[in-house]
Amino acid sequence: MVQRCELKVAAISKVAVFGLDCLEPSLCFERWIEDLPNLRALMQRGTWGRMTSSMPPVTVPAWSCMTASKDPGTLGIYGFRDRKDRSYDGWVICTSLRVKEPRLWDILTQQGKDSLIIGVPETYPITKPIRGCMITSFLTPTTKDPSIQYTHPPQLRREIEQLVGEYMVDVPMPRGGDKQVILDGIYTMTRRRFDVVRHLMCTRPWDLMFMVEMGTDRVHHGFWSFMDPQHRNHVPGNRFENAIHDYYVEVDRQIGETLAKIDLQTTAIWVVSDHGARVLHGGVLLNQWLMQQGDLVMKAPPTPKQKFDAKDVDWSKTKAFASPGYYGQIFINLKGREPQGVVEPGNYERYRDDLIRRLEAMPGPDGDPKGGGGWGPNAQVGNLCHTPQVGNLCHTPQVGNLCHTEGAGLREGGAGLRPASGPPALRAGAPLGNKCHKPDAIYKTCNNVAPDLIVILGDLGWRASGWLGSDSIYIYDDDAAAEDANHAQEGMYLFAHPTIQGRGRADGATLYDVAPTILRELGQPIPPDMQGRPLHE
Amino acid sequence: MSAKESTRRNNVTLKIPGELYDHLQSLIEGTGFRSVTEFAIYVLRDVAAGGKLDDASPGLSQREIEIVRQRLRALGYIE
Repeated sequence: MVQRCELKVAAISKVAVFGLDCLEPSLCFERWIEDLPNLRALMQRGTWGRMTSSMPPVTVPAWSCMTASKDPGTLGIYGFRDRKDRSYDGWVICTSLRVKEPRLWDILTQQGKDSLIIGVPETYPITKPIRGCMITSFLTPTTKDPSIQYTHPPQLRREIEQLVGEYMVDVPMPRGGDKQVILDGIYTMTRRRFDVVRHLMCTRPWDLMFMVEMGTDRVHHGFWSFMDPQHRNHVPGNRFENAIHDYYVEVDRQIGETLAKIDLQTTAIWVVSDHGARVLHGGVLLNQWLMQQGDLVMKAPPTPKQKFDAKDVDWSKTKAFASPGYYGQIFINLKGREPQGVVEPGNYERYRDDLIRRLEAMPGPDGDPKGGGGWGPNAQVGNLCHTPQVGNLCHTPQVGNLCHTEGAGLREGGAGLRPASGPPALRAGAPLGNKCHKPDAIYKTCNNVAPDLIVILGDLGWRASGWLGSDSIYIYDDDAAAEDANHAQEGMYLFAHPTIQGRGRADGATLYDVAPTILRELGQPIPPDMQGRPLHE
Repeated sequence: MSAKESTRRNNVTLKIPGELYDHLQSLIEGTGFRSVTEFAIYVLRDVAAGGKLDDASPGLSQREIEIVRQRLRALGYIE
């Protein structure tokens, strides 16, 4: 746990937050710290460490959890796409319209404070004008269509476009796309966003600046295999081996350039990520597994690589189905709740516990009698021999190939890579290391339609895939999705305060602690229903 | 006469930052607005004509949802 400072903090005039989606603590605090002079300087005078993300550790809902200090259940937002109702095919993309709880800028607006909010997920569409300026996030459909309002006030759009040209909310990441084009796009997006941030900070009144840069997430998902010898597709000496490192250096440079515009005597500086990053080994076909287990029954045997579709399911015989993503959601077909529910309410908990037992006992691919299978070009038994599993089994924190040191203070050099030969193979039949969570047990309440189970596959080393029609439940090189990196449960935080002596490393914060701490720094009351605690009293 | 009634008949003074005033003054140069006050009244009447400030964007169109869905699919967040 974070040792909380006993000092009373004098309220300061401003707080600037650099949100870096998916920034991985082992990379920025350890491995590359010598190459990141601006982060290093903040760490030397501040407090920093690993920060536990929301469950699930996914951009949506994580940033809303952080800025509202409310868990996903309270927000009623469980991922990018949630069930709209209890129908089998009603889904909704979680935009700002789903966020009903006040976030930092809503609270500050009520207190007469000005905010600059740039790129924070779940801010589009703009429904409630704030005091200050807002530029919406990558969930904005496009900035090219004049009818789409991505700024507040609306006329800010013209000013931004005069400054940087097209404002990029995101960068296209087509599967199989030209990597150099993608990388160039990430750099352009980031530079333009930071240019806009600096412009707004210099031309508008503000008490809080909160920006989120998505490039850090995109570079992980697009380039992790080029960096990490533990990724099955890694080729030593490839031309993108340093792509993530070099991009971290660029982000650090952009932060430094922005800090030069800020009065550090009156402004607290934050750098935060919503979750970390780690190598992704492949996908688990969760609906295929449910079929094999007899929980899910299709009307007809699926054809190879058939997409899961509710209309193909024999609901009268189906007890559970899954929704895929970087983690898995399992929904139970409960009688009286779902339209054609079959699980008796009296058997619900027993059945759910049985599902957990089976999911957590799921054998890894080396223990799979079918030898892993999959559809990708590398989906052969030989490739599976070095499928890394260490992180899954011994719960080594974060990126499997990086050591994590708990010691306090900045240290030299950072952790090195393990040998390129990779970790030991998984013992035949050993479990993948899945972990299931009951939403009603981990959240304060469950609004909207929560999944019955949240499934973290192999310590996030595996993603959940929705395809059917394979002998094996494992899939590699899925052409439907980026396959380089997954999220890690712990992100990072760092704050440097003008009047607080930094305490160096202090792991154990949660992302729910960020909003109450910022409110305290701005001398504002902390709403009693916030679920985090200030990191200093 | 109550204070509320008096504001219906008379003009009131609004305070805005001097910096913003200067900026608005330079903005209206060469336009038909004779003063910052006249310009501010024009803009505020325009805003007030909308009736309310919230729910300016009631939702996403089907086309917008499809664009976002495709982006999330390419990023692996959904299938």
